[in-house]
Amino acid sequence: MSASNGARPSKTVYLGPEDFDFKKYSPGTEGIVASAKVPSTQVWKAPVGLPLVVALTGKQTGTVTSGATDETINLSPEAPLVDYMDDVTQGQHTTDASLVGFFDSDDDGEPDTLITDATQVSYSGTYGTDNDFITSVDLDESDGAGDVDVAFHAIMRHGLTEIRKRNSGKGNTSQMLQSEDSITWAFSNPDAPDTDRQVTWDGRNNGQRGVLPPKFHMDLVFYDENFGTAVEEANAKNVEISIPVSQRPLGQDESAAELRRKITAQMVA
Amino acid sequence: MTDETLSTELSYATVESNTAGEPTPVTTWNVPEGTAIKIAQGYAAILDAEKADGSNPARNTKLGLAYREPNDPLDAWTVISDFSISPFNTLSLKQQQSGENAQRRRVRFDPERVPKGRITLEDADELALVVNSPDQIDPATLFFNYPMQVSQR
Repeated sequence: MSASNGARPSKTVYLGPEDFDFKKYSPGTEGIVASAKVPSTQVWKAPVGLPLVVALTGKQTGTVTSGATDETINLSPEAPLVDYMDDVTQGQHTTDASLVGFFDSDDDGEPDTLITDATQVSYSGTYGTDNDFITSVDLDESDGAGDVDVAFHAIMRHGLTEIRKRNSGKGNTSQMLQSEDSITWAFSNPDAPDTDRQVTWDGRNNGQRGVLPPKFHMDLVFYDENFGTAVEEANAKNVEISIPVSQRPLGQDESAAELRRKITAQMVA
Repeated sequence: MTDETLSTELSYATVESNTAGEPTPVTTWNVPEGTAIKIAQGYAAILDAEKADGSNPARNTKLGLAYREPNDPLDAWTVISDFSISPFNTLSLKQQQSGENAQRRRVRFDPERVPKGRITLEDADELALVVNSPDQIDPATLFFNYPMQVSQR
């Protein structure tokens, strides 16, 4: 590596859900639930101070009685109301909401049709809330041709998520870069610095701790004793991730392998 | 040494029910092997505690941080800080997470037990959030977090 590398042009790239591979998770153990890989010609660095968004989702299921009106489905765990996402209680029945409901429209056992206020299974407009959480939703069923399965994907209320970097070679050494509990991630507000609720890349990631050489992985590691994520499911469309990285091309006089060795040597498992 | 958060969500946190009317832990952190955690006074705690029916615990509920060293008797917690539940009952988690309204939520340590306002807990030490309340607090919805520094030994 030469000193001239510092002057190479870098740009800020925002890693979103499309940049991560999602994996199945079982509660009670720490597990990688999402993983992104640094391109083989690029180097990532954590831009200290820029806001982070990491909102993973879990799934809960229920049943609506055939022909029901105002049937209350209690949520367990309750769903955080997230400032940077659509709010279902305000009529925003989108897949970008912090709570997204689906129903089984074709009786194939898979609740995969979005619930709105105008569908066969629909929101009646009544929601139970407790401060910053949705505790229940009221649903109507209009066909009357049998009970209907429903599923809700809600931003995690329990557990914690770490951002880790992991090397690509033998040994799989990894190092935690940032860790916050689900409540802190959910109630952060990346778009409103004046609320003092931004979660930003921590200052300790300045310097080589925050460097991810080519082919390194950036993992999201989740832990909760009782509640799992369901981020790997096709309907987990409201997983919200925005992780800024400063990306620069590997220098011509710079060896990817040497940079990997150097960074790995400084990582503490 | 890294800045992390002491939280009810940590893998080494055990969340349990208190005994109404008796000072008992609702969360115990068992410091992992090879790790030391340091907490300092002066930061604002974030806490949400409810009874099983979702209502707030009584206003005369007192909370505190306490520690226990290896070989201390099982019930011998040394309380280093105590605070009232009132500000946590009146402020939502979002309001607490924003820096406003922090004054009454700042943790102060007992200067006789923690002389310099900070305490380091080594592995095998335990730290607890203890509660003295006429009510039982629901462990399923209890949430607490406070800044800490973690170092590997």
